[in-house]
Formats: sequence, structure tokens, C-alpha cells
Amino acid sequence: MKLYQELKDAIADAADEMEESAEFRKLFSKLVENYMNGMRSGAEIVNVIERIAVTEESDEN
Amino acid sequence: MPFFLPRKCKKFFADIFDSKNRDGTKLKLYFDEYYYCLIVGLAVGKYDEDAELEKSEITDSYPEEYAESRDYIAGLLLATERQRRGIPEGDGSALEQLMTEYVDATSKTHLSAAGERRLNQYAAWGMEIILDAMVHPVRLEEFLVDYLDAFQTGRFTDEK
Amino acid sequence: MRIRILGWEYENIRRMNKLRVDLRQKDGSVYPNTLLMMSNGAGKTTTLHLIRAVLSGNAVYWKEREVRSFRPVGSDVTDGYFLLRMEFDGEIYCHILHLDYEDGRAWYETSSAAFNGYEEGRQVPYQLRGIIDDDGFVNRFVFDGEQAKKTLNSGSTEAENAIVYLYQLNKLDELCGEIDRLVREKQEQSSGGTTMRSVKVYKGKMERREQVYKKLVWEKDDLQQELKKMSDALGQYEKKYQDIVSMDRKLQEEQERLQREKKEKQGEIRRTTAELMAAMKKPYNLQLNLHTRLKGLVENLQTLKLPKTTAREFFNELAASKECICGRCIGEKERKRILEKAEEYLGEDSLVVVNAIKNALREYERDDTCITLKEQLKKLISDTDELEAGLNRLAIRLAEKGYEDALKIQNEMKDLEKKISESKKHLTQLTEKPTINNTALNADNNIHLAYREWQDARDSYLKANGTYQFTKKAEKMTEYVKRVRKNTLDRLKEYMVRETNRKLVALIDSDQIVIRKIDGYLVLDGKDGASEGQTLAVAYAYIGTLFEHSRFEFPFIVDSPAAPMDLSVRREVAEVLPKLFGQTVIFVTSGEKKGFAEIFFKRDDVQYLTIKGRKNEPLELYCGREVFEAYQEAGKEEK
Repeated sequence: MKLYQELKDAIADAADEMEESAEFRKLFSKLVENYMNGMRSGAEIVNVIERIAVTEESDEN
Repeated sequence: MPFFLPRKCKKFFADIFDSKNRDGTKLKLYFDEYYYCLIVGLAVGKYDEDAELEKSEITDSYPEEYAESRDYIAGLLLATERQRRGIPEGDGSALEQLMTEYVDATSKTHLSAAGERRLNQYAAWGMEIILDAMVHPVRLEEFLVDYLDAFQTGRFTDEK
Repeated sequence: MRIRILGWEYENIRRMNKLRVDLRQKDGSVYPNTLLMMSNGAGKTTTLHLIRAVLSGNAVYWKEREVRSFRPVGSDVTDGYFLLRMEFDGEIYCHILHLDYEDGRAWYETSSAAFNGYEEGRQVPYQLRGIIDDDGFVNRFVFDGEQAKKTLNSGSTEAENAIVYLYQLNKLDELCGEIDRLVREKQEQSSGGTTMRSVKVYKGKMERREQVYKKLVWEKDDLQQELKKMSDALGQYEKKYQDIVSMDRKLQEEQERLQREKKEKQGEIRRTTAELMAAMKKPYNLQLNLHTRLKGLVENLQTLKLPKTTAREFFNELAASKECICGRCIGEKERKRILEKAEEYLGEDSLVVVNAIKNALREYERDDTCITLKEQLKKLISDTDELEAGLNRLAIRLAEKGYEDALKIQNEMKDLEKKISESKKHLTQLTEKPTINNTALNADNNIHLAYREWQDARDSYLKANGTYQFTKKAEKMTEYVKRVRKNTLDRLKEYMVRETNRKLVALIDSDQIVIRKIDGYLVLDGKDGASEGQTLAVAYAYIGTLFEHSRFEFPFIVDSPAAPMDLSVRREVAEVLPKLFGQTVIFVTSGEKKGFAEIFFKRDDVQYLTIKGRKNEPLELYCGREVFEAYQEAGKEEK
């Protein structure tokens, strides 16, 4: 199914702004598209999340 | 019920025990340790009701080396228990009852579970007496000599 | 997806006893526009209510009173129904809303080409599920004035929600929910918390265990090195000693002799020990007392003629017979007694065993083997000790002869041997493979166990940390998804504003109504509000834009679309409405003919329907423009 243009542009913009690897950006975009088209996979989501760049360790008080 | 080693055995016999017995100068079987304790316990005629035993059994039947001792040990158990319970010589039925209690033809040891349990208890008491009467052995031959001496000179006793 | 209403039917609903409305043309396609003239008391509100109920599916929540309120007045019919015929991308669905007046219950049935016959429940094509179920959503295309007000009402988020649902941005919210769920699942799997603090605790334990393991490995290496050094040193000492000894040939010969004899003695000790151990396996040889006891038992058994030759089996069999061997009868009392007594007898097999024991005890003969061997062993030990002493004395003699080093070397060697033995013991403890029986080993003194504990601690840490990391990443991910949602919504809003404004210019030229932005509701530029007519116009333009841009082409069903408007606006709305939607179904009252319905008369794609009836009589449907045009509400001309 075709996604409407605004969504596609928004995904592309969000991806551009992210400080993440090109690989992640591609996977993220695909994931959102798939999800909107009704293809929902928990395993796919976990896979994409794992590829996010490691965050800095911060102290909890 | 199979044979269980009294808890303090392994430590006491540690220096003269080697399961592989590489140079022929050490005890090879845990049952050897058990036997020495058992005989002392039977000789003194006291058993430990709350025997502290190892969690896992040594064996549930006599090792080959001890196959011939089976009847003697059974007999010794009966004889000792008869004495301990004070069964008079004329009391045939009490003696027969003792035998039905401890003998079981279907068991590998020819003893019932009650009988085997009692043996473990005698072994446990025997260990306590040995600890009292003997030093920690470092050479097997010295241990054997000392052990037999203790028997002969009456060092194995319950009186303190 | 193209969605059309093909028509509907009533049975036993208020004044509609049995009525059927068909919006189709002869060729099966719907009229692009249907004007339906129904006065207020005629059931206009009811019809719209029912259409909404069928489309949204919310009638299942109706209370009994509400259900019964549809019952024709003064009638005792037990039930009625409302049937709505829809077309979704060419597929026809019949939705029936059943009203059970007796039970006060409403329920649905659906039939379509997809199912054979009717299926219970209100079924819609899957693309619409989740969208059309929303009450608010249905109100956007089954429209009325109240709905229009919400679009411009500053307290409402109607305008924005319409975008979110129609363009399915709520799916992105669901995605965020799914991410949350996955994080929770991961956290549940990792026991023991995943806060930063607990991760640190795990890390600490892992590092400590690693230290212990490494320390033990170094210890092992050190020990091995030490052992090698000591063995080498021992070897060197031995060589040195030998050199000294060999300098004196006589002493050397003596040393060799002593060593030979020592070796022999040790062999003899081994043999004697083995013999002795075998002899000791006969307990009667260990102590006289034991022998006495055993023989005493045998004697006693013999005297008492035990074991009794009769076996337990004999008595068990006897108990089973009617008569005793003596001839007497065996009754219940006797039987019980016999069986009791039988327990005192040995079974046949046990008899055999006891007899075997008895024989063994009877037949053995005690001997002095143990004592003899013991004495032999004693002598061998003392002989060996003497030889050892002799070898030691050699060193002294060498020293006396001037070889001072000899003694010293001997002592060093003894020291070293002791140290070597200890180090070997320590090394064994470090390197031995742990078995269940070996309780002396633990994770602080054995390398294998230390390694295992380190790895276990490491696994726990990784798991906790992994979960922690995952949680952090998931937070970022949620942020990204929310960003996409916001971006999309912003763009859509921009588009809606632009397009709606364009339509408004055509619709309302008397006043400049411009939408500035969508902030939950439509914010008008400069104005605090708009007139009722203007509000409606804005709402229509907005809805039109909404649907036009979306994937779904809904029909537009509207109640009195132009009632509160003045004439000029009415005309504009009448021109624009058909352009906004692929199918319109417009309920009008006679008062809206002027300025509104009239405009439609110019078109050739309009169906005109009138539903009317005399007071207290069931309503009837009339098709055609004539009736429509002629119809006037009660109070004016009665028809």
C-alpha cells in the first residue's frame, strides 16, 4: 500500500535529523512504513532498537 | 539402604587415600574406610542414632574385595545386636525375631534396610572412637599397625 | 477505498413500519446526490441516529430504555430492525441492527459476499477496522450542526483528531505502546532490576570475580615456576651430594647399599600391607572378643535349633486352609492368630540366608594371620626407618670427614622436599577438576570454580546491562517515532489549512474567513468566531479537504446543511457540497428548499425522495422531484 506523501516526507526528515548510522535510518524508515501498512513484528522492532547508538552512561541519584 | 560414609572419614583418611592408588601405598576404596570404622563400632557395641553421614552413598552392595565378608558382617551385626539388646540365651523367639528384622534374602547385602541403616550407625560411632584413639595417619602401613594395636590393647573403648 | 451507501430499510421502527430507501440508479451505481425530504417528527433524527449506530457499532452499549424507544408507539411488536446497505470498493455489505423490544437488547448481523449468509456482529472490511469503530469518526461524515461547532470550538480537539484518525497517525501511538511493551517484557526476563545502580552492582561483582580468577591463575603460574625451580634445586643438591659421596668410595658404596635395601624394604611393605588388609577383611581375626561373640551366636542358634525349619510360607498356606494339620478346624480367629504368628518366622529365602550365615560362622577358624603380619609390618617399618637413619648419618659422617656441606645439603634437601610436597598440594587444589564429592574446593581456591563464578557474574551483568541499554535505546526510539508523528501531523495540518482556505474563498466571499492554523481546533485568522452559517461552511470545507486527501472516499450524510445560513451562503454551500464528496445524502426540511434545494434542480445527478405520512399513520416513501417540490411541512399546506 502506498503511504501518503506527508508521512513519507516526515519519516525522511526525522531520519535525516537523527544522529544514527545510515543502516539504522534505513531500518527505521522501513519499520515505520511496514507498521503503518499493518505489518507488525515485535522481533523487527527489537532488531531496530538494538541498532540505536549506545547512549552515554549517566548517574542516577 | 546403601552404605553411607560417616562425614568425618574423608578428612581423617585424606593422606592415606588415593582412589587411583598410583603407587600401591594408599587405600583405594571408600569402603575400606567404612569397614575400619564399622568394625570398631561393632566391637565396642554402640551405634550413633543421629549418625552424620555423607549425602551420597558409597555403594549399595559389597565391593568385590569384600564379597567374602558379607556373611561375617551380617553375623556380627546379629551377634552385636543380640548382646546389646540383652537377649537371653534361652529366648529363641526373640532371637528369631531379631533375624527376621535384619535379614532380607532379596537384598544384595542379605540385610534389610533396617540392617543396613544400623550398620551405617555403627560405622559412625566407630569413626568417633577412632578419632579419639588414633592420630591422623600419614602412612598406610603405620595406620594398619596402629589400628590393630589399638584393638589388642583395648584403646578402642567407649569409656572416656 | 471507495465507500458508498446503497440504501436502507426499516421495519417496526417508530413510524416506519416497513420502508425501504434505495439510493441506486438503474445501472446499480448510486446517485451522486440524494435529497431526502423528511420533516422533523418523521424520523429524520432517528434515521441519522440509526445510520451512525450501524456504522460505529455502538448500539451494543444501548440501555434497554433506549432500545425500546424505537418501538412504534402504541404497538406491541416484539422486535424491529434497521438494515443499512453499504458498498466498500465494490463489495456489498448488508448491516442489520436488530432491536429486541422485549429484552431491550440491540444486536447486529452482517452479510457480504465474503461470508456465506449472515454473520453475527457488525463486520466491516479489515482496512476500516480501528478507524470506523470510533464514535467520533462516524460523526465526521454523518454530519450535523453540533459536529460543525466542535471543529471551530477552542475547547475541542476535534479538528486535529479528525486528521489523526483519518490518516491513522494513531498507529504510530500504537507503535510507541508496542515499544513500551517490549521493554517491559525484557525487564521481566532479567531478574533483579535494571536500574543504573543495580547494573553497577552486577558490574562490581563481575569485576571482583574476574580478579579472583586472574589471581588464582597467576598463583598457579607462580607455583608451577616455583615447583620447577625447587625441583631443579633439589636435583642440583642431589647431584652435589652424590659428588661429595662419590669422592669417598667407601661411603658411596654404603649409600648405594642402603638405598637398595630401602627400596627392597619398601616393596616388602607394600606386599605385606596388601596381605594384611586382606586378612583384616575377616573381622574375627581383628579381635578375640569379636570371634567369641560370633561363635557364641552360632552356638546359641544351634542350641535353640534356630532357625526354625518351618518357613513363614508354611503358616501362610496353613492359614489359607480350612483344616489344621492336626485335624482341627481353622476359623477366623485361628486364621488371624496363625497369620500373626507367621510374621515371627523367616521366609523360605531368608531361611537359606540365615543358614548360610550360620554355616559360615560355624565353619571358620580363627588364626593369627593378622597378628603375625602386623608384627612383620612393624619390623619392616622400623627397618626402613633405620635405613633412612643410616642414609642420614652418612651426611654427618661426610661432615666429620670434612665435607661440611653434606649435612647442610641434606637439610636443604629435606626442606625442599617438604616445600615441594606442600606446593604440589596447593597446585592440586588450584587445578583439580571439581567433582560433587570434593567439598574442599570453592570459587576462591580453585581455578575452575573461580572461572565459572566469574562467567556467571558476567552473564548476570550483561543481562542486566543489556536490558538497561535496551531500555535507553527504546526511549530514543520512541522519541524518533513521536518526531515522525509530529512532523506528519504538522505537514498534514499545513495542507488542510491551505486547501480548506482555498475552498473557503469560493464558498464565502461576503466575509473573509481564513483559517490560520489547527491547534486542536480550527483557529480563524483575526476573528473570535464565525456566524453559524459560516461555521458550517468552514466545517464542510474542512471535512471535504480531509476526505479528499485521504485514502478513503466516504459518503457525506448531512442533516439540514443550510438551515441557519442566509441565502447567499446557502447557494454557495449547495454548489460546493456536491464537489466536495463523491456521494452526498442530504436530509432537508421544506424550509430549506429555497436557496438550497433549488440549486440542485439544475443538476442531473440528483435523486429526490420524500418520506411523509398523515398523523398517526405509518410513513411512506415517495420518489421523484414533483412530490419533493410540492412537499410542505405541516402548518403550511397539508399534503
